[in-house]
Amino acid sequence: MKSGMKYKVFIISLIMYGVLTAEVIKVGVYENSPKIFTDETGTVSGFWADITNYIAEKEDWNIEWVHGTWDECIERLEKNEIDIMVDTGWNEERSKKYLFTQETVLLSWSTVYVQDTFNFQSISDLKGKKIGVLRNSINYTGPQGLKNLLEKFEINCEFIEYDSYDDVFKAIENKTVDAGVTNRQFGEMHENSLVKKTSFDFLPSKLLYSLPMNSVNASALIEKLDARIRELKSDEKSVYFQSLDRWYGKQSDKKYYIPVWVYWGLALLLSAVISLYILNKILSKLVERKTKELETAYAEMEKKVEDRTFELSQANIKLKELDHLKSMFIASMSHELRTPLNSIIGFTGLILQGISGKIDNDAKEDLEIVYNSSKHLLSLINDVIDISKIEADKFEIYFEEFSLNEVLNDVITIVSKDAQKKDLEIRTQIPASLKVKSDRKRLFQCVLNLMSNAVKYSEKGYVELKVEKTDNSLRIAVKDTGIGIREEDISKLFKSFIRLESHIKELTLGTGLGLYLTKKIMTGVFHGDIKVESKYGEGSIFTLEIPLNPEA
Amino acid sequence: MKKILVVEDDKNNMRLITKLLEQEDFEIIRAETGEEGVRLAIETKPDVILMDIKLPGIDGLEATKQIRASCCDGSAIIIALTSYAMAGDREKYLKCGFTGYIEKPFDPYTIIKEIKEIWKKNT
Repeated sequence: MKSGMKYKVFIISLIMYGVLTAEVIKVGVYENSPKIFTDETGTVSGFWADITNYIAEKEDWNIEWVHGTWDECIERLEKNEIDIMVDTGWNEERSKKYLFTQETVLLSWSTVYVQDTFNFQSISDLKGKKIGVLRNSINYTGPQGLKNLLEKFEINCEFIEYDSYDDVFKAIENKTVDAGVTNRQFGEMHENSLVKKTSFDFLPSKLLYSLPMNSVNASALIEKLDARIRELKSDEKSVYFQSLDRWYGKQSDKKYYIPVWVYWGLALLLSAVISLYILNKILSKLVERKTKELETAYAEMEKKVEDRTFELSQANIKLKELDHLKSMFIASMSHELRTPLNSIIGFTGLILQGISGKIDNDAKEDLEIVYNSSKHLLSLINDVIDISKIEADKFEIYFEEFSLNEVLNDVITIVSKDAQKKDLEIRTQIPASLKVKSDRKRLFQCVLNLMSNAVKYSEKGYVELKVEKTDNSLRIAVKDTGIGIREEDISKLFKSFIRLESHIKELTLGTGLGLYLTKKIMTGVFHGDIKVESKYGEGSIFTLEIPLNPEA
Repeated sequence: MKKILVVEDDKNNMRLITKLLEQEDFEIIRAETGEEGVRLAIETKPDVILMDIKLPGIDGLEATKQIRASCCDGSAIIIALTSYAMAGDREKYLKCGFTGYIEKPFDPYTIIKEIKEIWKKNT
């Protein structure tokens, strides 16, 4: 235990000794960046700080930085209040006051800087100007300082002394002075739009460490400093060169002047970009909202259109169904009415022909009425069915090639019985072997209508059927020697359910639909026409004009 | 003597047409359905067939098709005798294999003549 205690005490003593024996070296600092300066954290920085710190570490010194202006630092050096001063330019005058190290640390030039508007051509331009200088610096009051230099050339100017180069530059910037003097390193680093460099370099000087004259350990320190500086300068990778690079060498570390308008321009550009961005955002928001609205409206419209289309198509389907039903109804009504009529007409005709046995004349007359009425009923049915189709503009057209002679003969056969009864002659002017391509049933219907009218309304003379055919038209004329038509009645002829007043109307049956239908069929089916010429009391001519191979 | 097959389901019409036909020298064969008509057509090979359209079972169109396919080398004279007399019906039946077309109500004075004419034209 005892021996252990002794051991500990010994180690602590050693450490204490080490701390105590570490020499405290007071080093003067002034503001002259990048050579030596105090940065924003209060740490001493710059080229001189780097190498001084390096040497101190090697030599086991405790550095105590003593801050002040250049003037104060020099004063402290004279009074032996600091051990070492950095960055001191050598000249003979100074060498009498202070001790210097031997090894050159830096070489420096001094340079004149002027206001941006100052047009500096030569040294004589400084005449009468205010010049900012660093108090007690060699480039001012030194033997080759600016003061002596200008006096030599008899250029009078006003010197204004400042405590740091920084203050000198500020004085140029705010136009307190016209020009100023700094060393080149400071100048290059602090040049800006308001302060510009001139070509006036002067006073090349060695920058060394300086020490007080009457210091006891100065010579030892000088020896150590020189040895270290030699050592540093001999190694290209040493702190010395690294620091040179750091503070002077690298282009990127140099502070370059950027004109104020560039800042303004950038700011303007930035604000423009931001404004545009915001504007763009607002606009796209607006567009987005409008687009959404439009999309909604469009969707609504589309839905409405869809609904309407659906409704319409439903209605259309219903209409088609109804139409189909109507057609079916008409077709089956036609069929169902014809079946009993067939029996009535058939059996009446059978009895009238005497097939079922002999009947007396009175009964025969009565039966004739039944027969004619049933025939009339048949034509009524036919006409009404036709009208139901024609009124709906639903002509069903069936074109075929057929013998016109055959159709006309059928018509003549039908009307000849009535004609014979009245002793009417039926004359024909029909070319032989007439083939036409047309709607057979409709053509038959029209000719029969005209022929039966002619027979019906003639009491004497003849009925003539005359046919003329050319390559592209067919003309069928029915001429009678009947009662004729009053001129004022001609316009009524083709109206439905109209029968003109005459004594014959009372004696015969008629629907009042025949000519109406014939006209409709002529125009609707054949794209032709019906014409009438008549002389009241003398007779009429009805002419069907039918184009052949009609395009429509 | 000419053989004539009448296919007609309506008794009144059958009575009427046969009475009219009996006035001439016809041998009349009667069928009341389409199927019977087809069978009798094949069996008796008539000179003329009068065919109603609306029939129970197969209709006149189908019966005609079958007769054309299996009787008389397809050259049988088949006349549609029907109440289907709307525009276009005539053309439809002639297209479907009928030789002739007579609509009901027919003219009792002229029907025999019409039948004969169609028959004459097609033999």
